[in-house]
Amino acid sequence: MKIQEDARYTKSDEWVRVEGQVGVVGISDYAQDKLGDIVFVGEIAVGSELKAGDLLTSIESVKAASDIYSPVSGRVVEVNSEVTAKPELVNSDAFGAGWLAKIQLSDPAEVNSLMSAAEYAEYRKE
Amino acid sequence: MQNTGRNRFPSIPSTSDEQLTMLNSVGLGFEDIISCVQGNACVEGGLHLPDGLTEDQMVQEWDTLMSRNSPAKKASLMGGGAYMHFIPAVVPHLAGQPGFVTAYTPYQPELSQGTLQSLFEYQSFIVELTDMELSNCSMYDGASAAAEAMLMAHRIKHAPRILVAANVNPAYLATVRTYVEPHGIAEETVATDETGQISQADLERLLAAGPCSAVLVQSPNYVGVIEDLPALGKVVHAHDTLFVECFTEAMALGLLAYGVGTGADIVVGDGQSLGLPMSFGGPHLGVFATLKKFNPELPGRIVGESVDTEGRQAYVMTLRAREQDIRREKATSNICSNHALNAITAAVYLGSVGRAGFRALACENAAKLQKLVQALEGSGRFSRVFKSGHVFNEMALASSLAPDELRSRLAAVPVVPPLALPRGTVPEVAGMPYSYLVCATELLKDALLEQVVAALM
Amino acid sequence: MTLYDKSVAGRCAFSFSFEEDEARGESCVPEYARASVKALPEVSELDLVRHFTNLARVNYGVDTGFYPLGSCTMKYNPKINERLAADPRLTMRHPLDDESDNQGVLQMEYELKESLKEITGMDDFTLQPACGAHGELTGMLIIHAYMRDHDPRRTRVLIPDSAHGTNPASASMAGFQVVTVPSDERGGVDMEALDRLMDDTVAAIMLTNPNTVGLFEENITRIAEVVHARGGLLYYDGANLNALMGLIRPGDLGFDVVHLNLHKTFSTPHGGGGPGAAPVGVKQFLAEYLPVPIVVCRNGRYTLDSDRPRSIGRMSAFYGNTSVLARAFVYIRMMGRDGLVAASRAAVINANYVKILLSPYYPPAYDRPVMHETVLSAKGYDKYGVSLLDIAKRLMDYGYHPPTIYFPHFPPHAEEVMMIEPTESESKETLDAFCDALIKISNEAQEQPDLLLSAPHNTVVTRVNETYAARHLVTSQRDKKENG
Repeated sequence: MKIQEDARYTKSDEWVRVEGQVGVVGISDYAQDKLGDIVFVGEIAVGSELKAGDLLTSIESVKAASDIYSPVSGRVVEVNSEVTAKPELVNSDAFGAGWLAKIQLSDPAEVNSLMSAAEYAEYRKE
Repeated sequence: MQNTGRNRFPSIPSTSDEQLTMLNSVGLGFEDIISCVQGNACVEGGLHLPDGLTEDQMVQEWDTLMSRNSPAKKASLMGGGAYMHFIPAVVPHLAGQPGFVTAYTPYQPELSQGTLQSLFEYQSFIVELTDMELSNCSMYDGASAAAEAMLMAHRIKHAPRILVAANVNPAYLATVRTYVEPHGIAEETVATDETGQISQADLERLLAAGPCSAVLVQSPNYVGVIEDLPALGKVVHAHDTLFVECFTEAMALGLLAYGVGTGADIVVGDGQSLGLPMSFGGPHLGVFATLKKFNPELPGRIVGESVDTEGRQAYVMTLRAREQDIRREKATSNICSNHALNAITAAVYLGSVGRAGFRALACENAAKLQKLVQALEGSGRFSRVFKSGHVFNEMALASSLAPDELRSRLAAVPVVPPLALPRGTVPEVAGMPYSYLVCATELLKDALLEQVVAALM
Repeated sequence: MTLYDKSVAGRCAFSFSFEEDEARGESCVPEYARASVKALPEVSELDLVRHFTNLARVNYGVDTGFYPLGSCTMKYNPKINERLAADPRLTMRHPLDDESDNQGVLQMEYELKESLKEITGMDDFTLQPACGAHGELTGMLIIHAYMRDHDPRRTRVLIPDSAHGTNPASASMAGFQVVTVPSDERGGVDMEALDRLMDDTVAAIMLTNPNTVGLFEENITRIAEVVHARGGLLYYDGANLNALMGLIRPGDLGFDVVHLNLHKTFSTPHGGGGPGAAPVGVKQFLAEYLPVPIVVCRNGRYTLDSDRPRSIGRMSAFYGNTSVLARAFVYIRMMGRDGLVAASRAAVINANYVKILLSPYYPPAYDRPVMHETVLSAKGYDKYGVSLLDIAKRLMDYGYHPPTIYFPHFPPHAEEVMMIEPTESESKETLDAFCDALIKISNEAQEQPDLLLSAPHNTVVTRVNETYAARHLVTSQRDKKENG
């Protein structure tokens, strides 16, 4: 199970990596592995205002569907169009090229209440 | 069960002795196994049903029952959502093969290539006939397909309002209403004009009045008139609304244009005319086709092409994460089983009539109706309600003949009489207070047509 | 190869005496509405026959072999049903024709309705729904309408975690919010959780009984009491009725709304995924909400009654899948009072027998006698690198269709469970041979796991790449041409 050290994690396997005022968001390697081969990443509307815990999008594999929740509050400023065309990126590079959205953080302190990489690794230890 | 002798029920092979042997292996008596049930209100003294019949007895009883129907007819002047067409012998022969009939849903593709490929071919034919990009492998019928199309449009556009043309088949409209009611989706009706078509002015007015998820238009419509789909499509797309086309008579697909070229976002309808008997209303065939960009919201099962481990072409159900077993309450629809065998039947039918045959049949239908109507108008007892409306194989005719009289005149002719329309369904014609929906298909041979006309003179 | 691939321009399979001029027909349609000739295949009749005959041959059906799909009730489809349902006196009926012309078919439907009332203990039925999910939606819309009139606060529906996916999907389509009720360690509804969740915002609980793990809901009487006492209704998913016919009736257990699957319990064929039929039965107080029309009998005359102002409306254009209803009518009439109970009895014995033979190799999910189906676990096989899927695929090499796999998926079994429903149609020899095969596979898993991992070997295609299918979506011949 891959872990990205500089990200924070939710109990529902989303991660956020803070880059200045913006949080880059995606699902963890554990999550993509559980889903299996991903075939579809749902549309995310640029400009939508989200609270932490709001539905961000849904991801489908051949055998499962998962609702993905935003780990942070803010406004969606950018969406990864690559994963719409090539959903397999989420499988191959969940922390890198498989990022889902960039959110302008309305409350940067929120990330502190999320799990650290070490805490998440412990949480998802099989 | 008897302890000796023959099994009374051929469909239950295990004898009493075998059941005893099996129970011994289990180590329990039957009463022990069902003890969990016993604490509850069990049936005392058996169900109050008659004794079972043997096969020969059943045939007798069935015969008695069916003899209470009027004899089967050679053609039907009645349409209105169910149509009598010629079904080549090869169609039930191929569709009725046990490999197709007794198979389950093709969850295990290695054992189901027959079903899967046949459904892929059905999807292919529907894509061609509706001129859309993606078809599912069937819904139950045209009415429920139209209803699901409205729900799909609502999921895409989110506006809690839909528009339906007043001249959509009334049973389709009723079904749409039943489906949308619990979702707080308001439904408004677009008026028709004196040509028998939907009023474009009223459509524009209603679209301008507020956001709307979809507009539902039927062509040919309930009173048989062909709508100007391209023009309507343009009106609808000037607003952020989906254009949903529907048909009740699939034979029209042989001659009329639908789909992408006319601005459709979704095309739905009933495929009963594609090789399926009327069967007193069911089972028919829900056709559902849409654009590829909407595939995440498409209800129903889809068959896709793929490869196996040896690289051979193979078919498989795909995009299943939309469906109820994975998505549960968030599924695009609750639909599980569909009308797969009827879709396979339609595929066989379309393969049988083929490119030229389907076109020729559609033309025959249209020409037959014109011939019939001309003759009926010639009698002086009938008149077209919509003088300028173009039609396919159904038309609204006003008449001086009351339904009872019409029926009794036609009693000796082996045709189903036309559908009597309730007063007010169509505009009145002076001197002709009754109106009918008259249908003609390729089965209305000239000799029969002459008999009909003679009887109604 | 598809029919398109076999097409040759000018070939045809169609023989018909056209009387009209094709150009005359074309000119009836104005230009803006007229299509050019649409692309359909051009094959000879023999091509068509070989094409579909060979396709049917590579399909596995009940007529081919044992089909132990849990909760699907793959029982034998009697051929007398097929013959009578194909009777032109039935198939040539126009649904809108005068009722006096249709007394035979209406009487058949009425008598079917009456027998379903007796079998289930319900007061009235609609025969309109086309398949189980359609029936569920109908039933839930009835409940929704009732609550709208009597207690609109009730917007939620309780559904066990073991439920078939159509249950929450149908509840949602009917406008309800779904609340999941966990199961207890004996496999039934967790009564404590029910007590907590059943409040005045809940319209109904949807139950399958026996449930999806083949167990009779031991607390059903208590569940009915609690739900009714707190103002809710009970919905019965009749998918598993094959365990109970003549033994117990959902109406007597307290269910208010019931749907049946004629294509399961009542022997109508599955057809590769339908058409089926799913009559919905209700207790008298809900009858006014049934979709219209309903077949009734007045003074010996059968008629379709649409005069129901509180009806939820229509679920489809006509009255239901008549030729499917006809098959069930014949089945019930031929089985009769004694046959139906004999069927359920044999189904239950068969399932328990299979369970006992396989238990040492595939431990049952619950240590209780089962009803008509059994859920067995393959969890231990992952230590050989083998999954339940591999076991299922290897079964195909032995000539069997696999049981239902990976369903239901809820704790404590996680995912590796298979559900086996033999039905009463199968003989002891078939069950012995099937269990033998699964036992052999169990040994293979330990000694030659590769045989399972590469299975199936004897089928016309091997494992199909589902990821490829979804990522390179080709759903029609047109798609193929466009993708090159």
